[in-house]
Amino acid sequence: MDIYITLSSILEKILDLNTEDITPETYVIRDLDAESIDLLEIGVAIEQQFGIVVRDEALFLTSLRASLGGLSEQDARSRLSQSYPHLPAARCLQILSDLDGGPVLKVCDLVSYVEHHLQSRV
Amino acid sequence: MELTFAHKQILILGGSSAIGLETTARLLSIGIEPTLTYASEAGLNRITERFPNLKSTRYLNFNDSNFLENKSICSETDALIDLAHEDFEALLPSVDDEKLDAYCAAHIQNRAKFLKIVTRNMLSRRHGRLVYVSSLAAHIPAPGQGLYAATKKAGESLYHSYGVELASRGITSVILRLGLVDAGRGHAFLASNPQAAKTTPLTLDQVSGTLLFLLSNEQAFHCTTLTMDAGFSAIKY
Repeated sequence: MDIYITLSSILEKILDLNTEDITPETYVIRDLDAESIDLLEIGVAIEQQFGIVVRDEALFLTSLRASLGGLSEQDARSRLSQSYPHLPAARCLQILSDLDGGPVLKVCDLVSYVEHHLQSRV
Repeated sequence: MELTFAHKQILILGGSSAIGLETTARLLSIGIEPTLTYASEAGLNRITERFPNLKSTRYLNFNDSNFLENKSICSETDALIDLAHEDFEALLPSVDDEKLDAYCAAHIQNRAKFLKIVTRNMLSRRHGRLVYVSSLAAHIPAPGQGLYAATKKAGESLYHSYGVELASRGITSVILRLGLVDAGRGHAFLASNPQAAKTTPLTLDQVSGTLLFLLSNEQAFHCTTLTMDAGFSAIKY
């Protein structure tokens, strides 16, 4: 099962989009206008399609901003990698420089989460 | 009026209660077999005595720390009637701390966790009905009912909020707040406190009939609390 294709199909269905609107770099909230109820549905669909247990907070980086408040860059990097072990180091750096733009969640983050949890089952 | 039902995979929490059993009888009479939960062997015995051919019963006890292990209990549920609530009688300032912790954990936290699982399953189908059976105590507690009343009120809030949050995805909720019912614990209470009945207590027939109506397609009650108490709370003397 191709994780990205399956995830795109989930997003397409729940957000009523066309596949060409979605790339790994697409922001789930900034670009696709996903609301809380949409994220909830997406989380449920991911659980069912991939057979993994989803923690919505971790999958959607919901508490990211609150957890980084007031930290130095080094501490923030460390906090990100501890709280979101599914995110590659390079992506963590990208997130830290992108915080001013709005919600940072991208489609590639959802892919990373699923990959991480499928691998940890093996 | 003939009732029709879009939701047929019905789970009754606290199904071994008098209301649960009577509601089950009504559902079976129209060809719908619900799944009933029980929290004790005595509860299971009550179910099997009344319905020896009922195939679907499940153990579920909110006091049991492992209660979430059997998540499959609600994987197909598209309608939930929640009757699962233990009594608790003690003046609040006298309540033992450990018992307070355990009672609140069971009836608020664990209820919330269970509802999370039920509604996530309903969400995948964009279809579901939640019916919470509350008590007049949530509105007017008698002395000694404080913790029971508080946890019933919390249950009302949970169900109301689930309805608010999930309405756009086809999941509705309603709260039925009951006055004195002449059955189960209510029957025992009335026997020792006949003066408590300012009005005629509710019958099981009335309660189960109302629950069926609230599950049916012939109603549109959502995110609201219906008080059914034969006028008890409206009458001063």
